[in-house]
This record gives sequence, C-alpha cells and structure tokens, in this order.
Amino acid sequence: MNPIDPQLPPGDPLVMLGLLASAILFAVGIVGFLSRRNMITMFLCTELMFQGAGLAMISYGRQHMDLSGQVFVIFILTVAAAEAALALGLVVLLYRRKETLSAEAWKELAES
Amino acid sequence: MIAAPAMLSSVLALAEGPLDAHAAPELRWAGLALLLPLISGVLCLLCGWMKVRSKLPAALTIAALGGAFATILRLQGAVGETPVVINLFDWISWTWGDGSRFHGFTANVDLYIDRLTVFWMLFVTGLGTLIALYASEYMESDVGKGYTRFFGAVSIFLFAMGCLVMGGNLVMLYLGWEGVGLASYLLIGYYFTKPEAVAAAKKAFIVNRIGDLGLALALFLIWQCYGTVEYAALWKAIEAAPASSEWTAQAIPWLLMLGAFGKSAQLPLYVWLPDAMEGPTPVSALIHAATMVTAGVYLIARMFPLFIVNPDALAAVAWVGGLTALLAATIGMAQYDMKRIWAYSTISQLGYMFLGLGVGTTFGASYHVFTHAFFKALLFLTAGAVMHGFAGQLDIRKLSGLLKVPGFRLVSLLAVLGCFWLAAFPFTAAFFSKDEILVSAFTAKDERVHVLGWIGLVVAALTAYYTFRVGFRVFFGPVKYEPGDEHHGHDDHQDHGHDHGHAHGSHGASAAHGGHGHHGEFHPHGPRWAIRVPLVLIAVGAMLAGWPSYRTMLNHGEPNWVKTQVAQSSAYQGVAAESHGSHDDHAAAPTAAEGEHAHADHGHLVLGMDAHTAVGRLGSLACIAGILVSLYLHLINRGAADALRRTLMGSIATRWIVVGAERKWLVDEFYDWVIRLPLRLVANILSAIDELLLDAGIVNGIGALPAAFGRLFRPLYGGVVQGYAVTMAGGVALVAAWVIWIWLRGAN
Amino acid sequence: MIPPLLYAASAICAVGLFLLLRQPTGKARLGATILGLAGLAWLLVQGVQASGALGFDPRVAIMSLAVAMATAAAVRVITTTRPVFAALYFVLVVVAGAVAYLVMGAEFMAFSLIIVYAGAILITYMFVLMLAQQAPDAGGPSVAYDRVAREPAAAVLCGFVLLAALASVVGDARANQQPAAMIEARANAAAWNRMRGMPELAQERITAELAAAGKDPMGWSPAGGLEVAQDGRTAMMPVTLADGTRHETVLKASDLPVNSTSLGWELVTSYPGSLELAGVILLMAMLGAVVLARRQTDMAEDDRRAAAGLSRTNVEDADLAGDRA
Repeated sequence: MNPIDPQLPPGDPLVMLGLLASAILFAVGIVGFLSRRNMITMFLCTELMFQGAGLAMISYGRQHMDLSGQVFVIFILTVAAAEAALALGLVVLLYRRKETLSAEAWKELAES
Repeated sequence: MIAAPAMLSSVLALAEGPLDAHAAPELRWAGLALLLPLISGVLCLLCGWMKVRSKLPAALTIAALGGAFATILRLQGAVGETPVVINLFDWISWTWGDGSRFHGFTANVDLYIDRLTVFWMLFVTGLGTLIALYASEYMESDVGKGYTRFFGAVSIFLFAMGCLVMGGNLVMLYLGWEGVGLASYLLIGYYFTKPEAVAAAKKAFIVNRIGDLGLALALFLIWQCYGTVEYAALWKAIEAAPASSEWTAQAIPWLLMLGAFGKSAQLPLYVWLPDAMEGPTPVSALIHAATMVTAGVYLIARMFPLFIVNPDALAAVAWVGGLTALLAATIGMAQYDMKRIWAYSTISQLGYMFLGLGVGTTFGASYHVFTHAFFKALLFLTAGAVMHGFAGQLDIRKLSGLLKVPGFRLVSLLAVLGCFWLAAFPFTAAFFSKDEILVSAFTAKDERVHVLGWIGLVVAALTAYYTFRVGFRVFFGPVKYEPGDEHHGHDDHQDHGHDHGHAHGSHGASAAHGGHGHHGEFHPHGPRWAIRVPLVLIAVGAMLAGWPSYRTMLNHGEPNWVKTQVAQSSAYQGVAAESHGSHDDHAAAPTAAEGEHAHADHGHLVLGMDAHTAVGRLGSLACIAGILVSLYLHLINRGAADALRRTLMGSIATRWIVVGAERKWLVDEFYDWVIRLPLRLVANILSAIDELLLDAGIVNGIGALPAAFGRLFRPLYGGVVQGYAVTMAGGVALVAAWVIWIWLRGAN
Repeated sequence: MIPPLLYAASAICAVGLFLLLRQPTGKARLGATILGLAGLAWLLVQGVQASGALGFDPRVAIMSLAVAMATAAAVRVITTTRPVFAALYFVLVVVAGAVAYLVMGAEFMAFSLIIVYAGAILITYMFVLMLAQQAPDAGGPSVAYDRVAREPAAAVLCGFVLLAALASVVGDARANQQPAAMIEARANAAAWNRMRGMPELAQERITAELAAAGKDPMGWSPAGGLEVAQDGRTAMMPVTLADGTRHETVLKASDLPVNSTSLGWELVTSYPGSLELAGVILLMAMLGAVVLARRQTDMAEDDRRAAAGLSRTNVEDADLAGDRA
C-alpha cells in the first residue's frame, strides 16, 4: 500500500479536489445511466460523465501547468455537443415510434 | 474441353511436333480424329444451352464422326510400319534430381499412330458414324428432351475412345478410359427418371471403378519399374530389361488384367454389362457391344510386351476368358429378353477374345474384335429396330415370324444374317476369327490352356444354339406378336424375365395374323431410311470383315490384312521370341511368305489331325449341331422346348441347371451377400457410431455446453439497454480496479 | 490517501446514494442525504490531507464548496423523478464545475462551459423535453418509469467500484509528481516561448516603459530576442533607442499573456488538425441530427424510387407479395 510519504513535496489541494470531483461526477453519471429509465435523463447522465472528464482534464492541466488540458476540454465540449445533438435526435425518433421515453420499451435486442 | 483451343491451334499449325522424317503428311492430320468429336460435343453442349429443338445435334455428331472416320481412312493409307508419335501439345513434363529416366515424369498430349491404333479407330469411328445415323431416327421421339444430351454423350464417348486408342502414353489412355466410363454412365442412365436405368448406370460405374483401380495401380507401377509411361520409351525400356523378378514388375500384368476385365466385362466384373442394356439400344450397340467393351482387349494387346514375359498372367487371361465365355453362354441360353441375350453373347464373345489374348494370338483376338464389332452392332441395331417398331417388345416368346411382317422384312433378314455371323457359321468372318483363337488355344506352348480349346468348341455350339433360338423364334414361324407397353418407341422395356407382359393378356389371346393385329389399334411401324441404311452398311461391313481371310484362303500364302495390321505394333513385340509354337510365330516376319496352314511341323495334333483342320471341322460341326438343335426346339416343335424345360425342372438332379441359368447363376446375389451385405453392415455400424457417439455425443454435447452456460447469464440480457450497460460498466470497473491494484502493488 | 479509508468513504457514499435512489421521496431521504454528504466530506478531507498542504487557503474552501455543490446537484440529477428538474440540476452541476475551473485558473474554459453547456446544450435538452414529455400519471407529478430506479444496487455497485479505483489513482498522483520547481520552470519556459510568438505584447510593455521614462515611445528597434532569466520568472528584451543607446526592458510574469490568449495560441499552433476535425465532427453531427429528426414515413421500396425520380421496378414487390402470401 501507499501511505503518504511525508518527505514528498506538498501537492496542490485544488488538484486533489478537482480529481476527486471528477471521479465522483463520473461515478454518479454511470450510476444514473444504469438506473434511470427515462432516455433523456440517461443522456443527461452521459453529460455528467463528460463533466467529470472535463474536470479531470483541467485538474491534470493544472498539476502539470500545461495548457493542453484546457485545450482538450474544448474538444470534449465539441464531442459533447455533437453527442447531444445526435442523441436527442435519436430520442425524438424513438419517442415518435413508441410514444414513450422509457428505455424499457425497446427490448428488441433480447434473444427471446 | 480446356484443351480444345490448344489442340485446334496445333492441329491447324500442322503439328510442329517431332514427326518422323519419313512419316506421311497425312499423319499430321491425325489430331482431327480427336478434335472433331470434341467439337461436336462442345456444339451439342451449346445446343443444349440454347434449347435446340431439332435434329441439329444429330447432324453435328454424324458430321463430326464422319469426318473422324474420313481422317482415319486417310491415316490408314498413310501409316507405315514404324509407329509415329504426333505431339499435339505439351502437357505434363516434370523432372527432378538429375532428370534421368527415373527422375522425371512426362505425359504429353501425344498421339501414338501405328497400325493397331488405326485398325482399332477404323471400326470405332466407322461404326460410331453409322450408329449415330441410326440413332438420329431411333431417338427422334426424344427430340427437344434428351436428344441433345444423347448426342453430346456420344460425341464425348468418341472423343474419349479416341484418346484411349490413339493416346501416346498411359496417362492419356487412362483419361480416355475414364472418359468412356463417364460416357457409358451418362448413356446407360439416359432415362434417368427410370429407377432401373439409374441403378444400372451406378452399377456400371462402380464395377468399372474396381477395374480402373487396377489400371491406375498398374500405371503407377509401370512408372516405378520402367521410369516412363510413354509407349515409345516404354517398349525400349522393356526391351532393355525385360522381366524383373520384383513383385512390382510381376504385379503389373495382373493389375492391367483387372482393369481390362472391368471394362470388358470379364468374369469377376462382368455383372454390369447385362444391366447396361437399360440404355438406349444404339448405345448398347456402340458402346456396350462394339467399341468400348473392346478397350480391355486393346489394353492387353497394346501392353502385350508386359504380358509376354509373364506366362502365368497370360494363362490367367486365357482361363478367365474361356470361363467367361462358357458362363455367359449358359446364361444366354436361358434368357428371354432379346437385348439381354445379345448382352450375354457379347460377354461370351469378349471371353473368346481374352482367350485369344491369353493363348498369345493378339491377331486372333483383334480379328475377333473386328468381326464381332460389326455383327454384334448389327444384331443390337436390328433388335432396336424391332423394339422401336413393336413398342418396346423384346420378349422372344411374344414375337414370332417377323420375316413376314411388312416393313420388317429387311430388318429381319439382316438380323438372321447377323445370327449366322454370331454363330460363326462356316466361312463367315467370325468363323475365321474364332478359328484363329481356337487353333492357338490347341497349339499354345503352355499346356495348361489346351483344355480351353475344347471349352471354346463347346461354347461355339452353345452360341449357335442360343443365337438361333432368338433367330428362329423371332424371325421365323407363324406371324404372332404382342406389342410392348411403350407406345412411343422408347426402349423403356421392363426386364422381368419370364414374368413379363401379363398386363396384355395371355399369350395366345394376343396372337395376330397377317400383320394386322387385333390388339387394339396397334400397328407395328417399320423403320425408315436412317435406320435401314446403317443396318445395310453394317451388314456389308460384317461381310467384308471376312474378306482378308478369303484372300488368304484363295491366294495361298498371302498374309492376312488384319494380321499385318496387328503385327506391326506393340501387340506382337516379343510374340516371336516367345515362340508359342502356334502359327503365330510366322508373323514375326510378316513380309515373308506365310505358311498359314503349315502346322504339322509343330507337332500339335488334335484328334489326329493338324490343329487348323481339326478346329475348322469341329467348329463347323459344333455350329451346325447347335443350329439344328435350335431348329428343332424353336421352330419345328416349339412345344418341345417348354417340355424339355419342364422335364429338367421335374428332377431335383437337373433342376439346378434351369434355375441357375435362368437366374444368371446367382452371381449378382452372391456379390450382394458376400460384398455388399458386409459393407452395408459395416457402414451401418459406422453410421450408428457417427450419429450416436460423434454427432449426438461429442459434437452436439460440445455445442450444448455454451448454450447451457449462456442460459446461466440470460437474465442479464433482457434486451433493455441498461442491462448491457451494467455489464459493460461493471466490467470496466472491475478491470480498472484490477489494473490499479496491480499498479499500486508494483509501486511499492 | 490511505486506500482502506478511501474505500470506506466510497462505500458510505454508495450506501447513501443507493438509499436515495431506492426511495427518492420517502422519509429515509434526509438520513440518506446526511449519510452521503458525510461520506463525501470524508472523501474530500482525505483528498486535501493527501495533498500534504497545511494551513488555510481560501481557494481550497471555495473549491471544496464547489465540489460539494456539484456532487449534490449531480446526485439530484439522478434521483429526481422529474426530468425537467434533472436538467435544471444539471445546470447547477455545470455552474459549480465552472467555479472549480475558475479556481484552478482556467477562466476561458469556465465561461465556455457555462455558455456551451448551460446555454446551448441544456436548452436543447429542454426543447426535447417539451417535445417528448409525457403527461404525468396518477401516481405523482411524473411518469411511472421516472419514479422507480432500475436495479439501483447493481448500478451503485458498478459506479462506486469505479469511483474507488479512480480515487486510488488520485491519491497516488502525488507520489509520482515531479518536483514543483521543475514543473514551474518548464511551464515558464513554455509561457515565454509562447510570448515570442506574440511580439505585440512585448512591444506594448516596452512602449509603456519608455513613455513612463519620458522617452520617445515609438523610437526604438529590437536588438535581439527575448532572453529568459535563469529562474524563468523574468525575461529581458533588449532594444536600441533612437539615439543609439541600448535599453533593456525587463518583463515579469504579469506581462505574460492571459489565459484566454495563451489558450487560443496553444489551440491554433499545437492542435490545428484536431481543431479542424472538431469542426467536421460538429458538421456531421448537425447533418446527422437533421436526418434523424426528419419525420419518417414508411414507404415501399418502389414508392421511394418513384419519389426520388427513379423508374419503378415493380418486380420485387410482386415477388414479395407472393412471399408474404
């Protein structure tokens, strides 16, 4: 195991908090995606995971004092926006087919 | 088929291959004899593809075969005393090591032209042309249905037969051998909706496979022992090192023999030929009587240098031939189906040919092949004409006096002529050829085969009897007939022996007089010119087949033409050196004045006479005796035959003769019990093992495992997307936890 | 961080979240919330302790607050039974995240986040919610499938195993950290290097300094490149004045370009290809959304051909009709 070595130089508590927050947001996003039945909420949960990823980028960027972390957040935003557009288009399409937002209305993947 | 363009180009380029300098230019066209049937085969294929509904395929085939015949006629004039090898194109040429004799394998598409080749091709293509012409009318009810297929198969047959006979090496011979087997299969199974025909085709194919295995093994061993499969090189190799005592060299003639027996329907393997009569009659005439079945004779004649060094093998050939002749003749005596009788007579006559080969007279065997081809084709074709006219009727008890039926007079006349030839009536062609064989049997150096001469004489008598049994019953006597059940001229006859035809009422009630049957509206229709012309031409050919012998007889000492043909080929290599003591050894010097009848000095006396005289007299006697018995039993007092049968059946001691002969000595049943039944048992056992143990146990068991495993996890995958997402996220979480745990452990 | 403690804190959070998910409106809600917040607080305290920093820093307090707010809002996003509320709570998550960005010095991204997420994406979600929302049924203010979580135990287990694993890495990040001085030196070198590409910034500083010294602010010419000092905290820019004398302007860290300028510079110099690709992705997403959202009609293959101006085939349809029959 890895108890904290007091000889290590002090770290940045902001980075620590940021990374923890990103992990928590990601985990909560996953929990939400797995447990919600409303397709829109499920996609909101994926956005939560994106938030976690972005926060991690910023935190590591700060830890290494490098701008690449922030640049990557731009790309994450791009992908999130594209994903939102397509996902919501799909949701509208699926809603038109079955008149419900419940993900459980779609069971065609099952074998039997 | 693929070879066609290359062949065409090489033929048109006038064969640039290594021709002997002194070879006649006509020989360069020999490839046409192969190419023309191939072309007509391809054209028939096209016709079939374009759904031609006319007699065009027949015209194409007849034209092509006629062209091939013309080519062979030209060759006949041109072929010299030395064999010529014509290279059409190179095919297989492998060398390894230093490339010396045993380090290479060469099999080019060569033609080996010597007099034996041309002699054989002469009647193959000639009869092929005539029979194709005959078939063009005979098969006309099938125009638009199987007509194209029929002529396509005939073309393929002629092509393959040409390959077999003219090929310059054993590989080509083998290809031709298999090709004629294929054509035979296709044509026997021509009426493929009829179960009997399908079964017969399969039987022929499978039985031939056994023989072909022997041929293939012989081919391998020949390469192994002599290092080549090309005839020209092979003869040199044999001359250089004649007989090796290695078992491989000793086995070659035996294996070749097996192949020949399969193709030529000899004793262990003859059973396919009678059934092959399910095919259309022209096919029976061409393939299963005149040409293909003589391939075995050709093989042994061609490979004679390999046999001559092995007296045991030759004796075996003689014995198999003699016994086959006897067996088939006895069966033929008791059959009622005309085609079937001719089929057994074919087997019997082939037995004569093998007897001739076995006692060393390749000339006699070849001559008999030649004469037999004509008269047997004639007999089959007349039988076909009768069948064509009488709606498939072939039962000799239901046909009588056809000589007097209008439209059938010519056919009947020719058939009776054919009967005389088959019976080897004195001074017909077959008489001379059979004479040749029997004399050689009596005078052979090998004492073991002398008794076969007597068997041959007995068979001659039996042949005369059963031939005229048909002749007298069908063509003489009061006019009386009963049509078969095929009212469209199909030779779709049902062969049930004597149980046949009860659906048409009793025999007596169906009698018809003066050619106008009161049997419904049935009128027998006589054949037209396309059947009559080939019949007459073949009859003329059969008559002319005796011509060489007449010349020899009249101009004492003139060499027999057929003999010169055979003598200047590999079939005579070594015959002289072996000195059988027969008159054959004079053939070693065919240019010298032949002492055809000078046998006394050989010291082989039969009944105190010199062998030739004795056989001539005894043979004539046997023939006439057989005819007379037949005359009494089947024309003068037809009731006597049935009475005789009843008498024989009445006594336990003689009953087996009738039953045996009528039921073909139970050979088929014997094969069924001894070979087929054990095989079937083993197959069933293996099949049960396969189904129960392998399929159900191992294969399905292994297949069931994942299914059972999957059933365990099925609840996870209910089709809702989160179900899958849980698996994925849980998997990612576990993998991440595992990786990070390892990483943390490693950090310390 | 000490892993067993970390796992314990994660487990407490997990139990809290599980209870909230199972009964989002029941009486246990308060207790579950307190439990979850306690676990969260313990986790954060561990994180701050693990950094090894001592003493009070207001930025840490603000950051902690923002993280707590983001977490709480995120939990509300997944526990609320009404999707509209979920979307609104998500705005709160975004705002809290933006605060964290600001505290960590990413000003441009903080504002971008609010504009893009809270402004654009969330509005889209709201539109779709309006388009597709079903009327609440008799059971409450929302639809039945929104009220009951689906297998919360499995979901929480997955999520928090992942959380524990990720948090372990967070705790370990410090152990692999390079000395702060080295990081800073490299960051400074990179910053000065960026400034070399932006000569106007140096020009402004020189002009201002010359003006302050009472000299001609425009009468100078560069006498060499930017010379970074040994420690990297300052740099010197030599110029030649109009009278031929040499003047050395000292540039300090405060003269370096601000965050948004640096970020823009980094984006277009280091990642031009990725930038273009991002544009293409957005364009494709737009096209895809247009195609997906069209009203779709069920047309036979043949009718579709006709609608597209192609000739009708009429062949397959007949066959298909036969097959169906």
